[in-house]
Amino acid sequence: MTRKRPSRLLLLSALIMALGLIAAACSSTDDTTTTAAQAAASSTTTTAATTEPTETTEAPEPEQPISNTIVVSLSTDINILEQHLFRSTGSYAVTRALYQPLLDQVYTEKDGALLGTSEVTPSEILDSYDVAADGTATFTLNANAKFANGDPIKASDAVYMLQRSIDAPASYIPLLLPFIAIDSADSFTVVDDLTFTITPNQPTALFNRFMTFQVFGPIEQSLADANATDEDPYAFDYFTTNANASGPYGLGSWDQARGELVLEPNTGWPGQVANAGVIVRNVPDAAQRALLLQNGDLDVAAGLPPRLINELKDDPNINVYSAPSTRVNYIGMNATAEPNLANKMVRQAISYAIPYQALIDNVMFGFASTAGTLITSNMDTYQGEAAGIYTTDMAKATELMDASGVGPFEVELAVQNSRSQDQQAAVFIQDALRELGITVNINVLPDGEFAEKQNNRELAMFFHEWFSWGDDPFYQMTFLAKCGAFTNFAGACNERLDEIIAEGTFETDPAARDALGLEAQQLMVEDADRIYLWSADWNLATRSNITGVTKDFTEVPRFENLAKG
Amino acid sequence: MRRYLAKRLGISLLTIFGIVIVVFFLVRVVPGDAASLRAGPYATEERIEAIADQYGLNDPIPVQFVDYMSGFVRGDLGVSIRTNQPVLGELLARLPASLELALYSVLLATLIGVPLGILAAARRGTWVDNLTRVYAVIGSSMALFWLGLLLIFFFAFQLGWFPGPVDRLAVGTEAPPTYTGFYTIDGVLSGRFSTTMEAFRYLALPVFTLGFVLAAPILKMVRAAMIEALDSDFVRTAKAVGISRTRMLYVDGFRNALIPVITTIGIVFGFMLGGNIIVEFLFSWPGVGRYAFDAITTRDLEALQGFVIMVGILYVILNIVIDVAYGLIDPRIRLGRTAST
Repeated sequence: MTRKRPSRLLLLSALIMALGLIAAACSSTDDTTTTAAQAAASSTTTTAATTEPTETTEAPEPEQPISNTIVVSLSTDINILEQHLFRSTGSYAVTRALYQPLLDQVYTEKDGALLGTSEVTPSEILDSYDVAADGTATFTLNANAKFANGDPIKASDAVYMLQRSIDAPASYIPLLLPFIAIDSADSFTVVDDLTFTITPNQPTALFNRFMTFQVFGPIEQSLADANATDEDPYAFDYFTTNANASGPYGLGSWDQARGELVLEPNTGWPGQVANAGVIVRNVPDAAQRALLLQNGDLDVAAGLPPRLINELKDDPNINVYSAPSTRVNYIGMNATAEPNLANKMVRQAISYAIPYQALIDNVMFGFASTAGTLITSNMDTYQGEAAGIYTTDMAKATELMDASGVGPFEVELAVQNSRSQDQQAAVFIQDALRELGITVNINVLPDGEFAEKQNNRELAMFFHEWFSWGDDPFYQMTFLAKCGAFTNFAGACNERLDEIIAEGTFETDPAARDALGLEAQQLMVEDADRIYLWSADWNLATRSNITGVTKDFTEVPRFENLAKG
Repeated sequence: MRRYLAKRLGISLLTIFGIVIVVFFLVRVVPGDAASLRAGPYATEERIEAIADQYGLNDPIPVQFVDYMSGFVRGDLGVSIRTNQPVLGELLARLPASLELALYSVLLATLIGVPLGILAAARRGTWVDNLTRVYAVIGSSMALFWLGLLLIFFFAFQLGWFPGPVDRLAVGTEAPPTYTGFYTIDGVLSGRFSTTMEAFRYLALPVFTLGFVLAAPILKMVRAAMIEALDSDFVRTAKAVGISRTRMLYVDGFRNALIPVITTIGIVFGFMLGGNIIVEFLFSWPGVGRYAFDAITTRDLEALQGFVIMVGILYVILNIVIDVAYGLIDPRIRLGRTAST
């Protein structure tokens, strides 16, 4: 009799736990309180797939009313809402929704996605936009454009934003302004309540493109002044967690601890928002993001690696949008960290040994195109063939390696912990370089440590992905190839290339830009300071009923056109 | 008891002070330029220098230490590089999520580990004992992330019994008003029972993942302690005088085995406070573990420093609780000083 007591206790415990779990699993969440965005959505819909993600298998789909609130998960969390501070990828997507730039691109539809062209047009908050021969741009605001708090957007607000972007010590925007020949806040003038001008020192090729960037979205000056302090005269602290939107959405709520941010349509925005709101959730693990999308818990998942994108494209409930991008993925070769890499023939031999197509096929699953140089195959002025870009040629590689006089050596190849595709590519490259007598030791580093060592130029060979807003070759080379540039992590320097960059940045004649671009590509091929691996495509995965996917110059996800069909 | 507590508190304060000193200097030894990290990748040298001056990073280490300590005693753990927000506020906002997960996981682990440990000890050498030992081995050697992935895949995505790993509540569900920070309790206190049930649904898989693994050390400790207790002279005497087996197991045996068991549960709970980073990442659980993960990956040293100090303080508090529990369970411990004189 007494011997059975422990078993009974055990059984009782197990029973209680099982009942608890079953109760939890079977419980309904019908009457769960929802956020404002969902309440807004419920005027047309009630039972949201977004609020009852786990019941999708039980729900009779055809009869189910559809919420027009879009649930989006990005590759990072949202850390800062201040548009003039450097921030996470997730934050950029949210600030694009909150702040309306002055210009926008003209879009064409391709395979269900709206793809930005190089043509620009006044955005919804502008009535007109003119550029004089001397480069002076005159902007006239739409009189109906309002901030999310209902106050009209005035020319003084736009000019305040521009002055703030250049004068605030914490702002990173002064780094961008030299490309549009602006070096002083005096370049901005209020003409009247709705009109203001920007007068650059000279006309530039990039001015229009830059004005499509979210960092040039108006900020309400009176609100900034009200929240300014002596230590923080431009109210950066306030705008780090608050926003009075000039864009399509206002900030509904932001639970930073939970990583959930709700965007509600800004009724003062003169454009048309195609959905009832957006909920942005942080799901840090890409594999979970993909599964949640497949399960219907998410409507849009960004930042998925190519392997997952490749898997999702066969799912009938998922649409995978993909388009060529101008981003560049390369391996930097830093001669100061590994003296053997100072030998140009060694670098050229390495460049010939890389299995480029195998990497595009097996690591990127075809979601990439040829990089060639920093001017990638989808970028203006690309002339890869004429420049003689590297293709795999083991015979040439061996020949160059022999001619270099450098014997077998070991080198470390650093990879970021968060980038699985780079880790896979590293194995291919390790294998290829072994044939040249180069032993590659793959070192996977936490992202923070990787960035720090990269900044300090301590990495001999390292993967790097770079994407320049604006799709401009000279802008891209300024950051990555200019002698002494902070982000020229390979530490390479070619004075002629510097001259070409300086000239091309302000050159507006397409033929002259082409010629400069070709010469730059030839120099980069000759110098072989980097291994130009591939140019990764822009990808976005959505549920199949989502429409209005938009890709602009910045490739930051745009929300205002997204809708549920 | 008062003297006993006062002594414990005194030792604890010294321990906390020691933790802060060690963490402060460790963070300064770790390579990394906090100013350039705060300034972002496009910052100019001037901007980096200005930030270094603003945050006193150019000051000598002793000056930085005095500044840090004066901030610490005022509850200032610095500002996160990643979010520009005070670290203490960010940690406190996330702590309830981690504590709720930890408490339910330890509860589940205890509910599994203690009965199974007693059962194994009571039926030592039988198939029941062997089976529980197999479980203990599996539980001890099971990788948390692997078990978590399996559970998510089968129970959330294949069977749909539990929600996917998005948060503590469904996407878009408003959190209940904060009383304790535990959604399961705050839902009840605010009359939102559906929120409580939903919170349990979202807790189920991460709690089971942790509970399954953490039950193993508790089971092993209970079994070992019970075997020792059941083999002792006083139990043999109790048996000889005809005391029932139930009383022998639960009163004489288990009570005497409680000290090491409580220690193990305390260690497990402490581990949960600082060590469930992987589970929080996997289940998108918005607790301090994930905060620490983000801090590690972005080299947000102020945030990481705050996390380590907070976990250290929680450990110290936990140890005080365990010490007090010892004293309550076994009066010889709290009277130890008196008895020896």
